[in-house]
Amino acid sequence: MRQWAMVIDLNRCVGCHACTIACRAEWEVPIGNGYRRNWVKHLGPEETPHGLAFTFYPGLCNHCDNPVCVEVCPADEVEVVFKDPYSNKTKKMSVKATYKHPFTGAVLIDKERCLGCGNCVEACPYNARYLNEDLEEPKADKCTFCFDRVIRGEEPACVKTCIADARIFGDLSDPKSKVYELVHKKGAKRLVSKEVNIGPNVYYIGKEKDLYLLMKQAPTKRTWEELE
Amino acid sequence: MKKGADLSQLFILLAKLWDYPTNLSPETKEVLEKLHEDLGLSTSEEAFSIKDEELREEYTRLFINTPLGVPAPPFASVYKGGGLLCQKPMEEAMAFYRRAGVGPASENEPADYLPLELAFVAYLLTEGKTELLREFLNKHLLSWFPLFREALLKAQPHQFFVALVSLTEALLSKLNEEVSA
Amino acid sequence: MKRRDFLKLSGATCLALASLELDNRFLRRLEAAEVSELPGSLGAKEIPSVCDMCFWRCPIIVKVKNGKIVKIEGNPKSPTNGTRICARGNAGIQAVYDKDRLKYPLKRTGARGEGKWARISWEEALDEIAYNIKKVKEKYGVHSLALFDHGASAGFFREIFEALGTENFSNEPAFFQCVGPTILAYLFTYGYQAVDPAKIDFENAKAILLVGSHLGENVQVSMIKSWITALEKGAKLIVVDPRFSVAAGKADLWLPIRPGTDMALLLAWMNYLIEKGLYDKDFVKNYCEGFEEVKEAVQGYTLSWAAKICDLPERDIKKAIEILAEAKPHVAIHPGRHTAWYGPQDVQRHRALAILTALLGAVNVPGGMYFPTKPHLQKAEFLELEEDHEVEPPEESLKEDIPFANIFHGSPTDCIIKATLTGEPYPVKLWGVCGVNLLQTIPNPYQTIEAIKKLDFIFTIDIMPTESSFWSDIVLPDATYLERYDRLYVCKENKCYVALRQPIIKPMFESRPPFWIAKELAKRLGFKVRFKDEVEYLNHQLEPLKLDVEKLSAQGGIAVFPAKPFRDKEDLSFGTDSEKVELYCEAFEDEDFDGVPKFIPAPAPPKGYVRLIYGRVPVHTFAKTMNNLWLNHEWPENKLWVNDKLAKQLGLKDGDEVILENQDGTRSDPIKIFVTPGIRPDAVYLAHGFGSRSPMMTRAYKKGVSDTFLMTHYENDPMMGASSHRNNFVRFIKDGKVINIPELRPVPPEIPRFELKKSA
Repeated sequence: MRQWAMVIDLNRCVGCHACTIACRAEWEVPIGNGYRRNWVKHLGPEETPHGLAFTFYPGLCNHCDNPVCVEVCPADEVEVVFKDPYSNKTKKMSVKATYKHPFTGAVLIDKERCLGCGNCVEACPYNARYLNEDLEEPKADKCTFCFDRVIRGEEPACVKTCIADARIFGDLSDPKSKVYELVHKKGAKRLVSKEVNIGPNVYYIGKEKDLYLLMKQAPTKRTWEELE
Repeated sequence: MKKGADLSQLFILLAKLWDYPTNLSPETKEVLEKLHEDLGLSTSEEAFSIKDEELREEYTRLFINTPLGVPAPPFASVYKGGGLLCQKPMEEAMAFYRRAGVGPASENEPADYLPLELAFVAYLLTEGKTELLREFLNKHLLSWFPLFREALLKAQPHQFFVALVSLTEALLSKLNEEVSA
Repeated sequence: MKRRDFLKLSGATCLALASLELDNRFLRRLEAAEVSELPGSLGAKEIPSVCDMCFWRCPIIVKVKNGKIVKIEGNPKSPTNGTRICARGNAGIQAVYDKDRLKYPLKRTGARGEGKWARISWEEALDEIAYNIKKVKEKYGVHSLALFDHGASAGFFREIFEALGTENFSNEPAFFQCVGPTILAYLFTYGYQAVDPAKIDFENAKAILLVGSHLGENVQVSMIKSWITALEKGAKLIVVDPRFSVAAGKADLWLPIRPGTDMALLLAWMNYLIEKGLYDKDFVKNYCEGFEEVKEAVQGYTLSWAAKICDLPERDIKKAIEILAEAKPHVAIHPGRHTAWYGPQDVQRHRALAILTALLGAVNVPGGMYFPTKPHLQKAEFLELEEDHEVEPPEESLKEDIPFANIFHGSPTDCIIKATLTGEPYPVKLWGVCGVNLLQTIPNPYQTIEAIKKLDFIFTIDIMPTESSFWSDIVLPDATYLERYDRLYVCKENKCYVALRQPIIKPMFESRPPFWIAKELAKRLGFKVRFKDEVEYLNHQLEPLKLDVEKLSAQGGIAVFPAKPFRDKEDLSFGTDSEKVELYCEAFEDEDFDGVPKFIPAPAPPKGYVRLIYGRVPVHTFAKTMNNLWLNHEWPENKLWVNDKLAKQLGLKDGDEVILENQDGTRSDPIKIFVTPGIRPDAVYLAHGFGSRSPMMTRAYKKGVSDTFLMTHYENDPMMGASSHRNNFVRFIKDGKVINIPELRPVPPEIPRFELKKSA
């Protein structure tokens, strides 16, 4: 089962924010309060058990294995036929307005069907979604792993622009892929805590002290259970 | 006298007045005064007695560059496109122009420049394209013009521009009534 | 439409209206055009060009869709950055579509500095500028004209001012506020311009030394790629910085040095290498002159002495030099870039770095210094001057007392400003300003403003209404880099290529490319321009390569040639008088400067104050991008880094707001503090370029604090005339009360104190 995933190398990342601007440019994400599909948080300088550290949390939607945002979508289920971008296969699935794409593992939003209720925005423990209220009808929005680019053979915008080559993108189910190697052989870590582990597909590698700071950013609130 | 031709002429006049003025001829001033009377709009004395130099300075201050950051740039994108030039609203305007088989004659200003949009209204009137005109007004021009007007008035402009924006608003309003009927 | 009742226009109105004879000149017929419907930037037309959001000039691909620029990405054909570009490069689109960009020529209508404008025609603007240039030249002599220049637009204007004959035809902040000191140092040591860009092969280094460089936060894409590759390959990184920078976060060793004492560290290291015989004996023997003089000059500078002066643990100082010695000759020592720190001794500090590099043999080897490969382009002079065209130097030059100022074109900035203010040695009465944000760049902007007030005429060419344009008599709107051609970009690193910058869209409003503006100005001043347009100008340069603009663009905008960064040992010679690396500099001695650097410390902060230091953020370029919508949103203001122990002692919390008051009593706007262990307690740090004083920069106005406006004190480097930016000291004002800063790190007696003026 193909699963798109990303590994971010904090040894390489210099916190230049090229990824956030490239994403905003590519998808015309408007400037608004919290309107962004990805972000770079600065961590430190701060003392850690492994020394003084100064690193970054480049974050985006994790396209989780168990996307809680999909669970809380109130839109009606509708049958959709999905096409595999890599072969002739098709699959019929009943989906709401947000769903996990069967052939890529990307979590996507059908803007036509989105009700703009904001449930998914509140449910995401990583705060990866936002509600665009600048439109005629509000719509949820988030990172799509540059689905439209990737299926046409292009790299995701953030990966393409990264000046330190710190973002590695690929298919986690492919043992020959770089992301597979980093996750299964080089110990890449994902942002999970004992309270929140919904199978994020964005991983991180780095020095001990940097990962120490990063892991403090792992969400601990089960936000999807707190919806009205 | 064909009212259609008059209306079109009116909108061309407006388009010219919202473009950078090199001078305001006495004949133009006369037309403006009379228009205000006809439409029952009240204006102050000084509105039409503005001197050329003052007009140029005020126009620059309001619409081009100013110490306080240009307060009322006359482009749809600034109001509906996130504060920038040449955003989706400009593409919208261009799409409308293309449907009528026209485009801006000068490439200096972006397509969603107020004078261009008013000139387009004039063109649609001349060609009798009522359907398209109605769509253009309702889906585009009238969605941003009030925001522009608000920004302009907030900048405390000279009475001339207060008069001009009232006149434009009144004419657009009446026109919209007519084509939507 | 019920025409009858629509508008009750009186007959008189209709008649009057008809008499105006209006026709619709605004529109014209248009053919249907293909509209791309693919999402994102897909389906766009791709045009190669070169970025100009900073001076690094990475080759880019610009994507245009339906007449609009939608995305900028790196050019995959570029051997240096490939598809990668930084945040600023990505945000270039915003520079074009900024509602506050300069659009039409403007003329000042109120008093200078009042900010009242009227739009005028290009004719009128250029006529006025030419008229004033001629008038001022007549009245005061040609040297009363001065050009402040920077960036891709400036070249043509520099040629014009040079042709006019003024010795002040240029004063680039790039030299006098920035890179000058280290260029001079390396030029006289190695005989070539090794600094801009730094000709260091990071990628293959086994050890890397950064002194006062926060690479990673100052973003130079290809350099960062090379540096990060080295780290991944296991290179050891040593960072010398009073602040725990991003680079320090990746370092094997961070030396939080007392500001102003770098020289002590470098001299002690040199002495250690020599004493222990750890220097590269072969390289020194075969390729260097002056070793004995250096050996003698540095003896006595011990590691323990340096530890005391620099306030660093001796074991760390030792560990660092041993790492470097172990890795030699594959050691990458960054020569520094922005090095106008304290004034006197700035040049010498970089001489010390240069000498250290030679002692480690890190020259002409992988990981060390390399030589650029020059593609064979033809020189193109913009103006066609008469055979007998002559310029006369002034009776007394305003750079008389600065022996090495002539290495750089034009005159030192400070000399021009002083001459403008005082009329000595002669009056300067006209400033042309091209691409320079005067008030956010040059220390003591209050003094700059006083100087501007004394001018007969000042004009500005720029893209955005910066602080300088605020004070100008005429402002000309420059086209952005996405709307014009510029001179060819020659890669000066360890790759060799030529890249084309070309217009992606037509200049918006009435902005014009610098070639056109300069041509029009040149004509009015009686000069002949050699080329019809930019294409002709560029084709002339490309001739020897058998290329032209069209071909170059068609092949992806870049022409790559084989590079030879390292010379064969037999052929290795240097551009110095001796053709060797000059560890001892006779030319300096001849002018009464030290032939080998000595330890002369920069004065420490006065009691109660801390040093104000600054740096860059990766999202902005100096002071020029603060109004950019996306970049401003990403990083809208700066914060003041304050040491956590110091903050605790003062009862200050992270996020508290303070006002800074410097040694001259100048106060800043409020700034939020960032409490961190990552800065020494005797310094505070903030990012440069914020706190815009120009209300015209609507997004940037008063966001954060301007470091430049706090730099009311500066000292000039006596060798080439650079300014200084790091000898201002501040204390805090909170809730109206002055807070004197306690000294948590004692200052040894060897370091003098900065003396407060009695009146302050």
